[in-house]
Amino acid sequence: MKISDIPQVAAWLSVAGIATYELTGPDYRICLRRSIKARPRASDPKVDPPLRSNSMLNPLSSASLGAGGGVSAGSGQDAAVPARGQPDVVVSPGVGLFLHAHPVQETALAEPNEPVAAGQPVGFLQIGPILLPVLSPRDGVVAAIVAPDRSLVGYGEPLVALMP
Amino acid sequence: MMEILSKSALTTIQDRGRFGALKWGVGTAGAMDGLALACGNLLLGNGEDAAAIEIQVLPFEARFDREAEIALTGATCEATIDGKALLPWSSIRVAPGAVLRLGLTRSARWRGARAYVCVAGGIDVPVVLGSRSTQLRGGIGGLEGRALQQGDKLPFGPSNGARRASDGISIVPPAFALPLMLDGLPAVRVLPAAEYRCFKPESQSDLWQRPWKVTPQSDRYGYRLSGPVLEPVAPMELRSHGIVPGVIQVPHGGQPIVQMCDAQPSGGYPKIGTVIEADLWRLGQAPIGSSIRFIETDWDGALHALDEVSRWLSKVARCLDLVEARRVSS
Amino acid sequence: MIVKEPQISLLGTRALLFEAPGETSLTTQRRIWSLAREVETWPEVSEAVPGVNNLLVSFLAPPRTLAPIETRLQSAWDTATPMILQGRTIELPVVYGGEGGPHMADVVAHTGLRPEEIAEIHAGRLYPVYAIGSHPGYCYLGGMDARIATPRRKVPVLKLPGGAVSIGGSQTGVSASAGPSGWNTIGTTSTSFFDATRDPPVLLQPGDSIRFRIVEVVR
Repeated sequence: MKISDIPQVAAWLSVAGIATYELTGPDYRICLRRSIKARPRASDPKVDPPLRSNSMLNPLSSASLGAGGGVSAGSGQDAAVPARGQPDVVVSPGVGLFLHAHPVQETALAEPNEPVAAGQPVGFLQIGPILLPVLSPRDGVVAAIVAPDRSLVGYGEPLVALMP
Repeated sequence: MMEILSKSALTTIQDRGRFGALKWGVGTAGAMDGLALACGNLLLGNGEDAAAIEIQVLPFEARFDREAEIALTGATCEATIDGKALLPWSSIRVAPGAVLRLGLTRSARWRGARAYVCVAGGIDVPVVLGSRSTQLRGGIGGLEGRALQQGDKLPFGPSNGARRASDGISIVPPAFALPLMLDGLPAVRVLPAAEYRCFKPESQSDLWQRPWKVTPQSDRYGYRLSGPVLEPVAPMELRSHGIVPGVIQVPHGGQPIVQMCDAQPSGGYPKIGTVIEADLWRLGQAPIGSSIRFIETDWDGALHALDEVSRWLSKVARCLDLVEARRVSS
Repeated sequence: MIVKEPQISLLGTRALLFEAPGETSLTTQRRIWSLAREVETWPEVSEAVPGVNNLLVSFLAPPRTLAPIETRLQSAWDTATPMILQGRTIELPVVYGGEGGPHMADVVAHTGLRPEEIAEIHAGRLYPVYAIGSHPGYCYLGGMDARIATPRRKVPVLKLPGGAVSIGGSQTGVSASAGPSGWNTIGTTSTSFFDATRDPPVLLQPGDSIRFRIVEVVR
């Protein structure tokens, strides 16, 4: 995560109803705390205690937010590019709930031992009312779905492992 | 421009609906699931009144003659663009000559009953009496006032280039984001209507306590429900009066009919209640053969429900902008 | 159903329904036209659409509280004077009975009259147009003879053609296009009642009158 991303992440925390978020990286720790006004928010999930995650991404890494994964014509949708040294793990592009399948569908997008193509969705990250597809950064075969279905994940957290 | 390739029964062009023409005997028509339509238009950055295609029978197939941005919302389908899977409740840019195919889905956590294909710029057919919605009775609006057929070619309006969401970004469907269930069945809230008090107490109780099955004689005009016989205290003959979509009529047979989007704007059967405007989309997505429950509400409850829908749509719009801004800036 | 006091009820959050008291009459209908004229100028109102001795008031947006508009509606009714509308009289040629009148037998069974008598009673008077509704261009007519009144059907018919001349309870009307109906169809006419390209798009409006002319009574 770049320093310049902090306002975006803060906005997402607000949407997702998360009050405190601590992100620990190889040599840094960032803590974002949102001040909550007294107004009740009926539809926002309450998260208590603070969400903590360990980022596999280096904040100074230029690969951290993925400059376009060239998925489908003209979309520029980012592929979640993992940091150096961890080429076989698809990591979360943000903060939210990781879903194995779209809410309306029964079958998971990816299963162990199934082949995936670069840019193919392997799960969804639910942020408030919307779903970001989590895309495979390369062709490969799924080794394991690391993050449980509907688990709250932080930026950079491992979601799906691909076979080397 | 898109060309309809499939035989395509019961597919019509709809927008939010035709208002202000009740004085001519012209009802609202419009999308049976107004929220799905709104979501599709939000994904594409269309204005709220952009028209789309409502699909009630699958399979459906269409071809785009040039590059276009489209969105698919509503009922769950096996959706592909040139064979490649299209994610539900999302938008995508399609290449010239691309073929969209919507097929029956084998399994789904949520099915729905009507799918919506929206396009950037909206479907460009003439506005008639203030709307592009198809008024089948009377044959106005939409494409020549009729259901779409194989071979029809539909022009698009100019796109404003304000597309909010890149390919694949999806909206959590309202069935999950705004759930309303009772005893395991989808439910809708109802405001008692003028003749509610004229029904026997057992019938009033049955209305709220029992499940109601959507029979095969249910369509855009009205949903005929089956369940316990609803009995008035004494037989009633009413004078003809204006009604709106959502009104639950009880003809002499005692089986309720919920008037839907293409309903007559007036009627004379006793009215036991009205499904609230904020919940009509839930009925619009209740498949034939499914059962629903009615929940009694009051004026404040009904307004609260409208506010909730409105807040949710605003939140969706804000989040789409947030994600899009991030994509653009990185 | 006759009420003693005006009744205001809800049609969801989209509209209010105002039901006038007393027996159905042309005088009451003229007061309803007056009320509609007044109410449609109110800022929260989208349309004020007369029915048969009642008024549907649809909202642009539902008001937060109902009591103020209900009070205003009640007092506007109290001061509404019968509005006289100068209209035209249109004659409609009708073939009674036969294929175009599939429910003539039900009216015969209910009233005990023969088809020829029913046709003569039906065509024997001038019908003022009380209201438009039901479907594009459809007119609700006042003043039908009570002798041929027949209750609406237990199960509505799914599709009736345009031009169907029908009786529902104590009312009569002509359908302007094909669609479902709970009324008893006794004859058919071929006249166009609605054209969206014209202004106004309807042939007949409240204040006009219809006269039916018997072309034939089919057995």
